[in-house]
Amino acid sequence: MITQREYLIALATIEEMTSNKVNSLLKTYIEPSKIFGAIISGEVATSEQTKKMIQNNYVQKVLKRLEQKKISVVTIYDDMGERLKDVFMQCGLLWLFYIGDLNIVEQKSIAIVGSRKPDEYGKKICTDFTSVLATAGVVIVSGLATGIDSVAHKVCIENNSKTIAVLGGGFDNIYPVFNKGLAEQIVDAGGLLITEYAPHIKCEAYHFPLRNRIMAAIADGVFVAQMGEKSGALHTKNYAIDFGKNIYIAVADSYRTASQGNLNLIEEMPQCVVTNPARILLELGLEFEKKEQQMRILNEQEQTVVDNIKDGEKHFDELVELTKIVPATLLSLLTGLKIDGIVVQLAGNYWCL
Amino acid sequence: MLAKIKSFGLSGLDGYEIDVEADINAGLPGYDVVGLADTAIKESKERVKSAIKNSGLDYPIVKITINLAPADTKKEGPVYDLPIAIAILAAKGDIDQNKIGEFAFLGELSLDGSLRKVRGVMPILITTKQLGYKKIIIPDANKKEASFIDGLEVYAAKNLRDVVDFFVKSDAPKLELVEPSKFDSIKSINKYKSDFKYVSGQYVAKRALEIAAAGGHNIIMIGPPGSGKTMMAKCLPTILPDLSFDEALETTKIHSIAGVLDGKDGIITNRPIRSPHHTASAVALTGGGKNARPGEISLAHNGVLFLDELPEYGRYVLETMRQPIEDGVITVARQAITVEYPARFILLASMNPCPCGHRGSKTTQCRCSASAIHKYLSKLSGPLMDRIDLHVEVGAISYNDLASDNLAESSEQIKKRVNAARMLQRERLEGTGIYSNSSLTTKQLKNFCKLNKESEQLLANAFSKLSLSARAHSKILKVARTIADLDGSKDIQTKHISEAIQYRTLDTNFI
Repeated sequence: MITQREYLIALATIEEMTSNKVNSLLKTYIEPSKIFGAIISGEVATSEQTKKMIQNNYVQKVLKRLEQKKISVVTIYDDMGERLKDVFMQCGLLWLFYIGDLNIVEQKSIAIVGSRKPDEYGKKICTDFTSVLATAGVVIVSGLATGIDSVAHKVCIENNSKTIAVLGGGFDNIYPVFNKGLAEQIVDAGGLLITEYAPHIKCEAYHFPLRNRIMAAIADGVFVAQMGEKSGALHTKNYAIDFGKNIYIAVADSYRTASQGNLNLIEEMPQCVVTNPARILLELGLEFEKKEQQMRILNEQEQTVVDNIKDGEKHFDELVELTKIVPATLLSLLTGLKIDGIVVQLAGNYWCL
Repeated sequence: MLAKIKSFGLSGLDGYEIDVEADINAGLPGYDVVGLADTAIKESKERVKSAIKNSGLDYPIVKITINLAPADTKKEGPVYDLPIAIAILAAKGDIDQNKIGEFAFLGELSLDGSLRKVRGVMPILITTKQLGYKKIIIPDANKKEASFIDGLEVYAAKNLRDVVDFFVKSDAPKLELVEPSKFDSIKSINKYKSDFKYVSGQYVAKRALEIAAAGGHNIIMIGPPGSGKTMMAKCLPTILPDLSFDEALETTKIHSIAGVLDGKDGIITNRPIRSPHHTASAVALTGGGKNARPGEISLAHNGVLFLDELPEYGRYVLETMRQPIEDGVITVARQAITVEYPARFILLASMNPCPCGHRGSKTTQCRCSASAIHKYLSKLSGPLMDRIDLHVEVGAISYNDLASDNLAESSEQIKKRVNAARMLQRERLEGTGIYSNSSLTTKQLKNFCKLNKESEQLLANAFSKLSLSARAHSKILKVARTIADLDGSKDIQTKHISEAIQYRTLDTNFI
């Protein structure tokens, strides 16, 4: 006996059947099984291919395949937590495919969004905020794209904390391809991959705004780490406003092209500017534990180096001239400081604290 | 009548003996060359004829047959013009055959009878000496390279007439006997146009190049366009140790065969730097073609091979270099011939951090998509990167640096340190068959690169904190060994290890 839930899952794997469409069909047909019948009889127009495909035990085949790939599905017929219920409501969803621990959706979470091409500053902002939030137990939600998204997920994995990646395509088509490894690491670290698309569905450009609405719905707040003038992250922000979520905007200096989107947002909603992750934690009702600065004792030369980097990032050549330390020694000093997490190396041999 | 003349041909890096025979018979006038001669030799007919006539000698209007023995090896090039002309004149009776018996001849003829420069004189002379011949006549333009082979009577001739007179007339001016040159007297003259003293700033890159020179390490420089990568690359040979005479001979032989030897000195005194363009084919790099000529990697033997914009080279081209980089020789096999050319060089590569070149720049926004960057970097295969010990990021230079009049440390000073470090390596590696830290085997690494507890701990920390890949381990040890040598230190200390870790940019999260 095939349940209505199983019929719905089968419907989800048909490319023409989006949540929206099935929703409207349900108004006429009431039950997924009847929609299924209507497709076979031709009452609901689909391609010939689809019609052929869904005959002959299609539902069982779909379930078996999902089981083989260890992909789970949560549908409106399932019991779910409060937050997930809200997500389904707000996004008009009927199903979500997922791999990993679904329960973490219920935990306190922040969506981190931003450019696919951040500069070093953007990456640093993202790293610092993510690491504080993740350490405090906040689940980080992001989109598994390159740039800010990848940085956020990676920091979580390094901290061994949980993170949710919302995908814009099916699990067979992880985009970008080279983040496949990252996706696996997320699951291994007890995180969650989630998407409304069936495994075989490819990532399309128009999926991303839809993906962003799920991110905004899951999270308690959205943190805009760094975005350019035109960024997909704007969608997430708009959805977040619609859903009544908090928005946090990272600051940047006025001339930073990679942060142009942030600057525009700051003009628009100055109350959302955030300079310290402590405020986000406070608004989430979490304690901000100031990390005990375990600065080890620096020797004289190391102190000189640190003093010179204090007021902003410096190129290695500048450091050589400022500190008057020979390059060979300076290189080995910097390695020590870098391993102990006191200084950070940026692309192009720039260094900062 | 019949005449027999000695000459030499080239097979790879070695010469071999060739008998040039001319036979003159009554009959319809004609000229035939037998003995697997190529087109250049067949065409010698017209050159020889005109040269003899224009030298004021008689060209016999009879049936002439030329044989190049041994008959079963292919011969190529115009080097047999002079021997053929002499053989014809001897067969005709103009020259006494007894007089020319102990001479060998090499040279291309011009229509007016003058002698032109030919390829491969140095390797031929080395063979001549080995085979026990004493006297050889070569074109005047080749006399410089000949002057470095001692124990031979080498005569340099300007034209055919002089050669004939030398044998025929007793009162004619003698041919010039080539004076032996002293390698030591010319090698000290520095002919490099570049010097590190004109490179201001760029401290890491300069330091990395110094280490590369000291340990023979392959190195890659990553930096935006206009950051001075090419300029610094040109400086690398200036800090390499001086060529020894044997090394100079090896390199000169290859250059002589390829026909790119400069006639002024006749020997390579400066370490070569070869920079083939990135459109070069695999054969252009490794060597090959019908006659298995040496390629760029062999021309860079004992010097530097500079590959500018490394990811722009064809992937196949780069992969073909993996084996020669490891072995220091390349075996070029072609239908007619199989040759082994030496190819021991320092590989110096440069690349941009991304296709547009501005990634990580403070002033210009990078325009590349993530996948474009990924694709760009993935051109560098793991096995190739395994052979590159040092990665260094080169920053854009500021106006202040350009405008400053301060001269940096000169190549001469750096070279002193490099020489000292090489000396230490030579002592340590004596009898192992290798010369520099870059070629240390795993077993030798264990012996020569022992770490103290503190350094072990540092390295372990670096691996966990800086997400270095596993292949970085042996590279860091080798480079640390060289840094210690530059420091004059017997053991590898913590500071050496920590500096070496800095040269593994591409192993950490570069993307």
